Amino acid sequence: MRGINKVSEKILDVKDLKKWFVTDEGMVRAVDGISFTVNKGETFGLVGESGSGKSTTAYTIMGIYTPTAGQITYKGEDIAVGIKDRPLSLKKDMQMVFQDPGSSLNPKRSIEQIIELPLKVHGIAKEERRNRVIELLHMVELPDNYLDRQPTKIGGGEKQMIAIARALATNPTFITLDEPTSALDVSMQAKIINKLIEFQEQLDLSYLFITHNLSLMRNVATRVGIMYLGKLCEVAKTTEFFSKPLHPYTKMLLSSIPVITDEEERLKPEKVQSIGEIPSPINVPSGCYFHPRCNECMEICRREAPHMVEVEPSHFVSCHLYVE
Amino acid sequence: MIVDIKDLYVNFKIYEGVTRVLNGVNFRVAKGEKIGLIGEAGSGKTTTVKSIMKILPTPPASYEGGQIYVEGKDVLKMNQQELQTMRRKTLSMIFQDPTSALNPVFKIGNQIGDVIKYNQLALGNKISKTEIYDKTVQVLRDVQMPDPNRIMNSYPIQLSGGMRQRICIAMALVSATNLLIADEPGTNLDVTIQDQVLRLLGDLVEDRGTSIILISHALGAVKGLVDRVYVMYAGVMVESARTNNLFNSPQHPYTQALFEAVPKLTGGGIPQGISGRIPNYLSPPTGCRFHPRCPHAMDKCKLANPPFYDIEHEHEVACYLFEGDK
Repeated sequence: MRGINKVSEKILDVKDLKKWFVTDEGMVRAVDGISFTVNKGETFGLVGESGSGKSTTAYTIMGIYTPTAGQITYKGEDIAVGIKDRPLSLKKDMQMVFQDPGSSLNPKRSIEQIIELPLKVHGIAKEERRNRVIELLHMVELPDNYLDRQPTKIGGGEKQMIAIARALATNPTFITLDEPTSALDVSMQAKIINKLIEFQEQLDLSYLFITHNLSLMRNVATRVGIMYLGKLCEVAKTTEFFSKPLHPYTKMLLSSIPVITDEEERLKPEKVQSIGEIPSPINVPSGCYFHPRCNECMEICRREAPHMVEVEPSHFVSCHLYVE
Repeated sequence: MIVDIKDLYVNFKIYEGVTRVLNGVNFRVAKGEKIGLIGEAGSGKTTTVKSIMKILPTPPASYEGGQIYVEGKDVLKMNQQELQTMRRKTLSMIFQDPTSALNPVFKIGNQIGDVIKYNQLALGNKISKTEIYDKTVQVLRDVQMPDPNRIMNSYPIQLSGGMRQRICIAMALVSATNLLIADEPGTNLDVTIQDQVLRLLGDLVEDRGTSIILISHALGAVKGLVDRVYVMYAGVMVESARTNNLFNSPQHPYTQALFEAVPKLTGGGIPQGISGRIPNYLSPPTGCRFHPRCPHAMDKCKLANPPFYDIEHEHEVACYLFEGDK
């Protein structure tokens, strides 16, 4: 696995991060106290169903939202503030690729203008800019004649490649990838993921990779964190996570994945019947948020929220089953 | 045989010219059979099933050749009246996006009730309001909705994605159909919910002996539910086999490449995808439409579209590699 043999040096450290939204119906606790780290050169995967708060987490780390509480430390500096209060050099170092390239690229601009914009913002001289844009375009294996095209005239996979080129433009060290391939076909997905892995090795990038696709996660992430209703249930190394899932929600997720080969089928945990749906984050259940859907629910789960415990070295679980 | 499509050609007229989308499709569904239809976006899966119901808008679409038999009658030769009857009595369809398939300004109860009412009218029966009500409650129970009375008085926006998808399944089931077409049910739902929806769909179809055509990107979901699978590429069926045969030994170069590109739970990275992309239908490649991307392409492949070759029982491959391989 990538990055495992390197000395793990924390690049991003998130502690007890909270992001709440005030709405007419009440307080939405989109992210409710999560802690994790991203090491240099690794891919940290954040998995969860829709509404679990994974995108909110990403947006808060990137500064698009100002956190309600908690700490975000990036390369030793506290950055738990909104985008306006962040220095330009920090923005240069942290970039993001969004889910839908159709709406993250301006349809009225040419590809050249789109990739050039971050270079302009960060004060690169005009003569250098064009060379850099062409260089970036070649990095994502697109021909020069794409410079004058508009995003609406190219395919979905190519659009996402442009979005990746734009994220790489300022030579960042940390990139947040928010479901970068969920809108694409499997063959395009394979191409983009391989390209991302290549860039990671070449440019020594660290990724925060958000997805709902566990099979994909198995192949790209170094470590995985599972989110449910704004909280992390389980954090572990990818290999261990898939061979030895501990949290009942993780087991339910893993046994729900549709797979195509018999080897994969054997790898899945014993069938856990999936029941119920993720509740609204306005009206969260008491105690452990997962207890209404949990098939191993105990009396204590209804009353008390569990804490994250380290069951095995670097394998964290938040579940009463694993508390002595 | 419920559906038998023979050598179907469908074109679409667009501003830039004529796109030749379906290019000689052959497709069969037997009674009670569960069929999976897989392929990348833009390969013509939805066009194929919409042709069966003849609900493609014409123009821009036009049927350029071939026959579509539904229960022995050619759909392309039916008049409007016969089409309506067929759609009400024989087929129903579950659409991809449950949010846009439901009307946002009517209550769920009324929407399901209307389907029941008009379905009965088509059969020549009168049905009273209380009967409609009872039937609606029953069908909501069938799709495992908690508290049917509350659901009937809700608007679609008040329900979650998984519940809306189940409402769509309920609506498709009330017309006692012989064939259910499910176009990517649950693909924009989470895995745990998708798992529930597909399990439910499988059970209902099993109980009623209904045939089903399941279209999906999620190959694993197809594998768990159907008896036989068709693989489609660029408007042509390239391979068809029993589910286990197909997933254990895919034969067509495209099917093999497609399966390889799926990320596996067993890990080990993702192989490089197939180079190139689905051809432009305005000027599709001659001969086999896969030849520009195919690692085994021969001269012959550029000339004519390969027919289906039987390589074993119920395993057909449209590829010249298998010519004379019987």
